[in-house]
Amino acid sequence: MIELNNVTFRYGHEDGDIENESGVENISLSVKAGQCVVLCGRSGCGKSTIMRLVNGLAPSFYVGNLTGQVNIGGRSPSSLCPEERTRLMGVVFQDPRSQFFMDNVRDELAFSAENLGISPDKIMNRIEKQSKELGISHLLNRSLHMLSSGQKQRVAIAAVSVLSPPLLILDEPTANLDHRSTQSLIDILGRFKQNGTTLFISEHRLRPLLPIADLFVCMEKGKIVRTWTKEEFSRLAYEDVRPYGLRHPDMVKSQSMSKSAEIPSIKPVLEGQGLTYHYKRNGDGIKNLDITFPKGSVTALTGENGTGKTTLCKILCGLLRQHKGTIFNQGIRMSASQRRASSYLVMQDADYQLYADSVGNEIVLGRRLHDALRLRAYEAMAAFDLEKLRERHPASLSGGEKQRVTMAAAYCSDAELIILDEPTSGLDGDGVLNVAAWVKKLAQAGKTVVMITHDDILSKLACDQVIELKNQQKGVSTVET
Amino acid sequence: MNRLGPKTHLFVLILASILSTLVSNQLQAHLMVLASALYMLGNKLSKKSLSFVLLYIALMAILSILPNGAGTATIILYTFARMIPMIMIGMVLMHSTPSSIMCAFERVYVPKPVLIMICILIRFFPVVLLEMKAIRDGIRARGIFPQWYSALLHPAMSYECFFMPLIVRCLKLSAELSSSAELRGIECGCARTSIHPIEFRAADGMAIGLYALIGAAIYWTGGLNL
Amino acid sequence: MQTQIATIQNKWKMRDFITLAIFNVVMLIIMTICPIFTIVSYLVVGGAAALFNGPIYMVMSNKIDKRGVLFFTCIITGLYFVAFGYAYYLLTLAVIGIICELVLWGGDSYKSPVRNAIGYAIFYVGWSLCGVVPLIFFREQYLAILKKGYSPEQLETMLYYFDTPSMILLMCAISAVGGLAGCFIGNLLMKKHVKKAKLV
Repeated sequence: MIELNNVTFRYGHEDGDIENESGVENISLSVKAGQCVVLCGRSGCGKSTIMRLVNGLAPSFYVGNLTGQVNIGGRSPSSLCPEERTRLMGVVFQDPRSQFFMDNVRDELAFSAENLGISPDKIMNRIEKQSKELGISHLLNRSLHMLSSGQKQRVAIAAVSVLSPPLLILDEPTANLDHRSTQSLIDILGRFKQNGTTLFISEHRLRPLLPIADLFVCMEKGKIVRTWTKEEFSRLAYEDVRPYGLRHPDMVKSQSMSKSAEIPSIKPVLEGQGLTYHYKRNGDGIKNLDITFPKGSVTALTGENGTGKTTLCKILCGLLRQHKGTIFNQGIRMSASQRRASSYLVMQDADYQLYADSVGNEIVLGRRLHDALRLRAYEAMAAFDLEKLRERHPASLSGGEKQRVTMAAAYCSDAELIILDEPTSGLDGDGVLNVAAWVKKLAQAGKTVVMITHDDILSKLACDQVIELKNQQKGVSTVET
Repeated sequence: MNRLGPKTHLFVLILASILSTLVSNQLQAHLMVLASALYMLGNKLSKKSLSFVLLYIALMAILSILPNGAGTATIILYTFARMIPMIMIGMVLMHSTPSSIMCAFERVYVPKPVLIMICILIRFFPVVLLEMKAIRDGIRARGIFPQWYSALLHPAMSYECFFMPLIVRCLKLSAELSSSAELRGIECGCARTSIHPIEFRAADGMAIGLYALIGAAIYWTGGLNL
Repeated sequence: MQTQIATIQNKWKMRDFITLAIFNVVMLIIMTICPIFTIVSYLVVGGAAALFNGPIYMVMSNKIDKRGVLFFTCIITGLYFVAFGYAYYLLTLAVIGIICELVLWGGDSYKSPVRNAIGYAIFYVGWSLCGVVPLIFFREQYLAILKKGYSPEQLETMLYYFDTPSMILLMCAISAVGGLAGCFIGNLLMKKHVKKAKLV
């Protein structure tokens, strides 16, 4: 199905090279029809470049220099006409928000088929069939804005598979999903595979993919360094994959850091009592929540999507005003604007929080530069390994690097409470370890850290307490461990 | 599923525009809002319709309170109030699905790129507003401007903090959206189909006829010098 | 189907249209918010909108870099106002759009800050003139329409702005200055951020 023959690709524009996207070198890869191949490796190792070569966006959309042969179903992707390409492959990108054209689910599913001029009756039939298969029949009349991220991901997959293309290409499909949604996504992909669809997936969370994958291809610096079959991969120990920066459940054991050594002092705490917030739109929210965060501790907030994790965090850092309840810092009541001034929320999407023209300026943004601050900024850059990137523009960095910059800025700020929203989504194994280490650094600097995360590895590595939010009938309870 | 087609909405919108230039007294303006509200109701947008009517009433109340010499403020508010009937019908048009809009206008030989632009304009209005809100939240979450007036103290910085991420996001959105569009066959040469009924049906004709009738009636009340 | 557009110098691709549409959405939203500035004075609305939209336009023009950017922007803006019932905006803006494109005629002008600024300023002058143009060409009919819509005092205030040459000139001047300043700031932002991040 997919044949890459000694392919080398370099990004480049007429006005010079783009240094941060380096391309791939001497790639030879062959995927048979009906197989499921998973691409893995550190962020920035060239996975997305291969995806782009396969779906034909490179070199037609992303300009660059291609040598070697790319064959998809026996033909070069650039020689396919738009109709053929649409019928041949379905491509799902990482961020479902920016690939939807329509505003309701049924229209979105129909979009590709409508473009090809298929008759409405046939389209309707296919939509019915496909939505039943993917378990989204009940969503067909919903608006896309109202869906959860798991549902959006499923709709995105349904939308590209309505034409039942023989090849599905997925870019980090599980990055933003909780355990349950990930599981149901894997089930769906398994069904596609049974029907003979070739799956080509790029992913960081590899373990959940084991049941469906046939081949794991590991890349580093634009080259393929290892390939494992499913059996080989499942037997790999952490030591084997560590050099490639992959994730592995045993990461926790090998990194048994001195966690219990210093139990944070219990006295000064941030606590919320009886916090209640309801969204007018659909009544979701939190109800009567009591919660305590010791100063200098790291807390993981877990729980399924839609249990109010984000709401709670927005209240804690003053973006939302709670409807009921109070928040105390060391026994003193805090208003929303006081909370805003003394907290720092690192959003999942770092794009919204980077404003300066260089990493160095970003870290000290908004404050008068004096020697103490400058020292602290250097300290932060050293701690987060940003010295080399100091002069770069934040928007030109990769996702992981951006996240590092915002964390360094948090480190450098006066905020006492730092909240991280899904800090490891889309990060490789090294990235997870680093986040864990950085979070500890933040805590050691005396800051209270709260993380929203679905990542068990991270919460085991770095957290002093894990709080799970659960949906009860119109309310939320906490379970602490 | 007895929704009217987008062409009908456009036609009614044009009718309303013409009517609004002919309307001469307050009562007629009120009646026009009422007619548009009915049109919205007929298209199953009862909540929106109600909120527009309330907005209109509120505007009228403010206008009646304002002293006559309030000058430009009165004009702006008044102009806005006069625009409400058209905005309401425009809302109906925006609420009809982009898919049916694309197909309906392709039949009348509007070039495809233009269609796609129109669809994106409609579809991304709320998205861009959400992006703006996310950027505002991002700024506040970083604690850069802790007080509401802090942004006003540093206008240059707040300008930069708002526009920089906005531009970056827009560039990213457009790149991803267009690559996704290319892969989903938007450049196919063949005529699009639509899963929505787009033929001009009796119901559409009746809606236009009814609106024209009501419009004529409203115009006629003007002649009565009430 | 795409031939008419393809013949305009360099071929417009789908992605250019999508970029154009998304950036225009942003500009329209800002344009819709700007009448708040009537609090200061009716005269500065155009200037304020131009000032805020400058960077957006500069990035868009640099990104697309094809003939017709400003013309299409004018048309989209015009269409938007048609939806509000101001059909004559579209006509005025179409004419303005053609003038703007003439200003930007020639190689590489969409990357040149100065020529972009001039074209953009003309666009905003045109935008603020939209209320005035019908007064010049269809004075009688337009006044008749206005008389029906507004009370005599309101009409007087309106005409004070739209029919006094000095006021019109002032308004145009503010819009032009706003447009030039917007492009100047936009160019600064471009250099400081967008080019540095290699996004265009």
